[in-house]
Amino acid sequence: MLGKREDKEEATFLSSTSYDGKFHSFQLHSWVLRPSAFWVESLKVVPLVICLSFLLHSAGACNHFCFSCFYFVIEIVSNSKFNTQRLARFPNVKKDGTLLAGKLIQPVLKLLNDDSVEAVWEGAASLLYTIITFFPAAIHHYYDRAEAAIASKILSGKYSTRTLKKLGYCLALLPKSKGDEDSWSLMMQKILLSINDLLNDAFQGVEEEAKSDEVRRLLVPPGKDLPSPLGHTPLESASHEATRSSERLPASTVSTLIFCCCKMLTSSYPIQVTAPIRAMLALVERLLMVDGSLPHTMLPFMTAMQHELICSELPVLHAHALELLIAIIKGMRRQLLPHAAYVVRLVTRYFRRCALPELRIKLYSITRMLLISMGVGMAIYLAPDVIDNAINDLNSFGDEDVETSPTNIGPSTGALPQPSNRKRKHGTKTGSPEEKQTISSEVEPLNPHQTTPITVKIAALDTLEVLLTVGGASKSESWRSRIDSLLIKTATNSCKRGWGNEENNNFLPHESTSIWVDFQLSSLRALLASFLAPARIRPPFLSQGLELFRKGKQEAGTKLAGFCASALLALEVLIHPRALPLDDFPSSYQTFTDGASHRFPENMPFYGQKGDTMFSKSMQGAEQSALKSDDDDLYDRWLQNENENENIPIENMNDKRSRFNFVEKPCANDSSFTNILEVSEQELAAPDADVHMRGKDEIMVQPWHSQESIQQTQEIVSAKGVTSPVVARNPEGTEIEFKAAVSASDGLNQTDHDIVSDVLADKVDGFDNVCGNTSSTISNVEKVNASVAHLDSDSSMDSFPAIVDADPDTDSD
Amino acid sequence: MGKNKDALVVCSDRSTGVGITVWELETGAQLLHIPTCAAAPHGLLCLRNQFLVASQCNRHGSFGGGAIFIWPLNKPRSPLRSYTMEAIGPLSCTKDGIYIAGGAPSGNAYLWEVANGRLLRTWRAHHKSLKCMVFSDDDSLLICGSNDGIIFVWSMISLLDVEDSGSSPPLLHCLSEHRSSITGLVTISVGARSIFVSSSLDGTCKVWDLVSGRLLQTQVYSTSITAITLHPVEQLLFSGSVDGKIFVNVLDLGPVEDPLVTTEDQAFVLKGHNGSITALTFSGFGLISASEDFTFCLWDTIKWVVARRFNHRKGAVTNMVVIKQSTLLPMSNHQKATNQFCVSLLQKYPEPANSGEGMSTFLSLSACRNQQTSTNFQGNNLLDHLIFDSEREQTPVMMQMKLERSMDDRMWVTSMTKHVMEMNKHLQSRLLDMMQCRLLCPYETDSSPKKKRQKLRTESPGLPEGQSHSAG
Repeated sequence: MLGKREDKEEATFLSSTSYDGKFHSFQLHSWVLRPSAFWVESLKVVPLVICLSFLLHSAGACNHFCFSCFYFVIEIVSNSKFNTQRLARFPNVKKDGTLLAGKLIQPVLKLLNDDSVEAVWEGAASLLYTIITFFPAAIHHYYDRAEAAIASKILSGKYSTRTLKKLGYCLALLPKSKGDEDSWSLMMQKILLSINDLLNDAFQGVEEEAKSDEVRRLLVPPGKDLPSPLGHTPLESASHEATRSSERLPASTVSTLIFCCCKMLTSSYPIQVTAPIRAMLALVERLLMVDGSLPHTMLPFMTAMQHELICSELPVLHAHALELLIAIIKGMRRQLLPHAAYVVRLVTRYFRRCALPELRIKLYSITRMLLISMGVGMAIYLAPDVIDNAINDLNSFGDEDVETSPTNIGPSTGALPQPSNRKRKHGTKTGSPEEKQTISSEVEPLNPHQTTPITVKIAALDTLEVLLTVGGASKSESWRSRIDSLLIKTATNSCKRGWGNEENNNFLPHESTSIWVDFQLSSLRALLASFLAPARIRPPFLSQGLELFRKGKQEAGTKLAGFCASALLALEVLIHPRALPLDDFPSSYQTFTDGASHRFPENMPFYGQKGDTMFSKSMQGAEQSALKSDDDDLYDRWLQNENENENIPIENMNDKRSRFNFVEKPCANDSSFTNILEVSEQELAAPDADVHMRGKDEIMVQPWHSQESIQQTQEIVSAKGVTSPVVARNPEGTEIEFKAAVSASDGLNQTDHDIVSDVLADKVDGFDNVCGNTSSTISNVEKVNASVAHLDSDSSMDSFPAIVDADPDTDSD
Repeated sequence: MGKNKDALVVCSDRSTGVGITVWELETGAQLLHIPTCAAAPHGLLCLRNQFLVASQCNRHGSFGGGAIFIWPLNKPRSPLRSYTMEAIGPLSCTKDGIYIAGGAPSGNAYLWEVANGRLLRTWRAHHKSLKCMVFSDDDSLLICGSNDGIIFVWSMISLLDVEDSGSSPPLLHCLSEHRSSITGLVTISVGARSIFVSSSLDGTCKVWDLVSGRLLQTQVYSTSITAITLHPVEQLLFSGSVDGKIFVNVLDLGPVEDPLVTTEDQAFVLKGHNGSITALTFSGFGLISASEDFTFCLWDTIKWVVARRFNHRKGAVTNMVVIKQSTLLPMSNHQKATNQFCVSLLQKYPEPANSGEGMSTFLSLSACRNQQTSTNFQGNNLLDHLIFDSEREQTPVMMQMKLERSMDDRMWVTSMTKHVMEMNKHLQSRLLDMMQCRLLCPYETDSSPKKKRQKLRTESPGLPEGQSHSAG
C-alpha cells in the first residue's frame, strides 16, 4: 500500500518536473518528505509549512501564479499528510506545526472566498480538513471567518456533490477546533435552523403551515433569542438567490447540510454534548411526511411546474432524511430510548407508504438497527409491520420468471421514476399533458405487484433474520408459521435454479451473479434463523432445509458452502439433541449423595478452569479417575450408565429420522456416497457400488488411488526384498488377484477388458524383473517406483490406477 | 498483573455507620472502607465499572425522603448525594449504565437517566412494597417483584414514551404465581430465548419465559428462599434458604411444554452458614454467599467446600457486588477526564411537561478514545484523485499542463527547424564559396580535381547533379 503510494507520488513529481521549473523548491522538499526516514522527515515538515505559507501569501499578490500553482501547493500539502499525522505525535513539533498551520489558514480562506475554479475550492477544503483534523487549535482564531466562508459556499449550492460534501465535512469538524459544548450545540442549532428555513421555502404549498414552525419551536425555546444565521449571512438572500435564479429547489444545499448533521452526530468529539434530539426527529418527520400530494386548499396556488419540481426532488430529500435518522440512531445508541416510541411510529408510518427500492432498503436497515440495539422490547413493537412488509416484498414473485427479466433491475438502479409516479397520484390532475406522457412512459415497465428488486428482497430477508434472532419468541404464535413457510419457499426458490457461482450463471443472463449469491445467502441465513429461533414446536420444514444446506455444502470453495457447513453444524444440536451429562446431573448426583457427599464435587463443573467449559468431558474424566480406584459396584453401575448413554443417542437419532420423515432422496444419496468411499478404501471389486460412481466422485477418488498404489507396491516389493525365497510365490498370488480384479472390472467396463489385461500382464513382467533385481539393495525401491510410474504412464485408461489399487489391497488382506 | 483481580464490595443495612467495605478476595485483606452507607437488599450496584451506587435506607424519624449515593470508584471520598421523594429500596441499572431504576416501599417506581440526572418517569408499579428490580439481558424490559409475590414486566420503550406520559403505562406481563414476597430475580438468555428466575419466601423458584410470560419450571423447597444466583457458564441455579443452606440445582430448559416441577431432593446442598442467606454472587473464583450470621464465604467450586470465610463484624451483609481491583486505582493525571462518562445528580422531581419540548439528550461520543486512529483513515485522497484524473486527463489543470507541454514541444520543434535551416544555409554558403573559389582559380588545384569532386559530392549529397557537372 505504502509502496504503491510512493510510486504514485514519484510519478506525479516526475510529470511535474517536465512541466515547470518554478517548482523546484517544492520538489526538493517533497523529495525529502517521502516516507523514507521517519525522524528526519517529520522534522522537515516545518520548513515546508513555512515555505507554503510564504508562497500562498505571495501568491495572493501576484497574479501570474495561476490556479495550477495553488493546486500544486495543495497537492503537496495533501502528500505531506503522511508526515503531518506522524508529526502529531510529538508535542513539541505539534506546537510549531499549529503555529505555522495558523498562518496557512488565512490564505486558504482567501482562496475559498475568491472566485475561482471549483478544483481550487475542493483542494482548499481538503487542506482545511487536514488542518482541522491535525492542528485543531490553529483554526481557533479564524473560526467565524471559516464558518462564514464554508457556509456561503454551501448555501450557494452551485457546485458538484463532491465539493459540497467536502465543505460540509469541514463545517461539521469546525466545532472540534474549539472543542467545547457550546460551539457544537450552536453549530447544530444553526444548521438545523437553516435546513428548516430552506424547507419552508421549498415545501410551500405541499404541507400544512403549522409544520414549518414546529422545528423552530423545538430548537429555540420561547424565551431565547435566535442564534445568528449560519455563516453570519442572512439566509434568506442566499437561498432566494439560489432558488429564484436557477428555478430549482435547494436540494443539494439541504442534502449537504443534512450530511453535515450526520457527520457531526457520528464523528467523535472530545466531550459530551447536548444534542437537540427532538428537533432532529421532528425535522426527519417533516421531510418524510411530505409526499407531494396537494392539500385541496392549496390547489390553485401551485403551478404545475413548481409541483413537478418538488416531486422530482422528494426522493433525494427522503433518502437524506433517512440518512439523518440512521445517524441519530448510531450516534445516540441507547440514549434514544425515550424517543424510541416516536421513532417506531415514524418508521412504521413511513413503511406503509414507501415504495422506492432505495428507500425501502434504507428503512429495512433502520429497522435492523433498531431491533439489534433495543432488543426484544423493540421487536414487540416492530414485528407486525416488518412482517407485513417483508411478506409483501418476498411474495411479490409468485412466478420465478419475474426474477429473470432484466427490467426489474431498472427500478432498483434508476430510482427516480417510480416515486414521482407514486407521489403524483393527486398531482396529475393539475399536470400538463406532457407530464402525463412522461409518467405513462415511466409506469409502463413497472408492475407494482410483481417487481420487487432483488436488493429489496435481500434487505427484507436480512431484517426477518434479525427479527427472528432478536424476538423470535415474542408473541410469535400468530406470525411464526407464516414466516417459516415463506422463508422455506424463498430459500427453495432461490436455490432452485442452481447455485450462484461463476460457471453456471446462465440462469440470470442479465444480472450480476454476485447479487444472486447474496440473495441465496440471505435466504439461507434467514432460513437458519427460522430453524434456530425458539418456537413451541419443532420447525416443520427442517428436512427440506437440511436438504438445501447439504446441497449447498457441496459447492466447494464458495461462500455458500462455508455458510451451509456452519449452518449444518448449528442445526446439529437441533437434529440430535445431545444427551449430555447435564441431563443426568441429578441422577448421577443421587448415586453419590447417599454414600460420600465429599466426592460429589469432583463431578461438578467449575468455573474458571481454562478451556474446559464442557460439562461432559471434565465430569466423565473426573469420574473415571475417581471411580477406578474405588473399585466397587458403583463403577459397574457407572459403566452401565455410560453404555446406556452411548446407545440412547443413536436410537434417538434413528427415531427422529423416521419421525421427521427424512425425504428418501438425500438419504439414498448419502448412503451411496459413503458407500463409494468405503468401498474404494477396502475393495474396489463391488460392482454395484461402481454403478453409482460417476462425475465428480470419480474425479475425487482417483488421485488418491494412484498414490496409494505406488505406496503399496513399494511395501510389497520391499517385503519381497527381505524374503527372497518366497519370490516365486508372489507373482502367482498377484496374478490370481489380477484375474479377480479383472473379473470385477468386467462389471465396470467390459470394453476395456483387453487393455486392462495387457497392462496387467506388463505389470506382472515388471514385477518379475523387480523380483530378480531386488536381491539385496534397497535402492531398488526407486527403480520400482520408476517402473510403477512407467506402468502408470503406459496406462491410457483412467480406470487403470483403480484396478492396480485392487491387488495390493487384497494382497495385504 | 494484579489489576484484573476481583474485589468484593460489601455493605449492610444495619446502620449507616457500617458503610461499604471492599475486600480483596484472594488474600482477605480490606482494600477500602467507605463510611456512611446502609443499603437495602438489592440496593447496591456498580455502574459502568466506574461508580458505586447505593440506595440509602430510610432512618426512622430522620426525614421523609430517601437518598441515593454515587461514589466514583477511583475517588471514593466525594460521593454525589441525590435526594429522592421517598426512600428507595431496590436499584437496578442497564448494562450500559445509561438508566437507573429504583423502587420504593410504597410501590412507586422511578427511572432516571444517569448522564443528566433527569427523572424520566415515575409511576405506580405495585400496590405493595417493591422488593426487587432487574433489567432484561438486552435492557429492553424491566422486571419488578413486590412484597405480595407479584411480578410485573414492563417494556422500557412504552415506559419512556414521551408522548404518552399518562398515569399508568401499559404492562407487558403480570405474573402472580408466587404466594409470598419475591426475594430475588435473575435473567439469563438461553439460546435466543430470554428467561428469568424468581425466588420467593414461599419456598419456590420459578423459571419464566420473559417475552411470552409463560412459567417454564418450578423448583419447590421446604424452606423459604432468600437469595438466588446463576452460575455464569453452566446452567446451575444456586438458591440460598432461610436456614443457611444453599441448594444447587440444574436449570434444564429443554423444549418442554408443560411446567416442570422439581423438588428439593434432587438438589445438592451446600452447608456452611448458620443464619439465613442474604446474598449470593459469583466472581471468577467461585460462589460467594453472605449470611445473617455476620459472615460471608467464598466457596471452592471444585470441591464445594468453603475456601475462605470472612467475618463482617459490623453487621449482616445485605449486598455484595464484585468489581475489578483496577477500577479502584486513582486516575493518573495523564488520562484527562474529558471524555469520562459523567454522572449528574439524580433529580428529585420529574421535569414539567411543557419543558419536554425543547428537550435534548446527552450524546456520549465514546468513539473519542480512538480519535487518532479513526481520523487517520478519513483522509481525502486528493492525490489519488489527481492521479486518476491525470490518467484520464480530465481536469483543467491537466489539460492546461498538456497544452503547455505541447506548446513547448512545438516551440522546440520550431527552434530545431530553425537551427537546421540555419545549418543548411551555412552549408550552402560554404559550398557556394568553394565553388566560387574553384571557378576563380581552377589551375591552382589541378592535382586531383576528380577527388575533389567526389569529396564535394560526399559532403553535400543533396546538391543536384547538374551543379557538380557544371562545377566540373
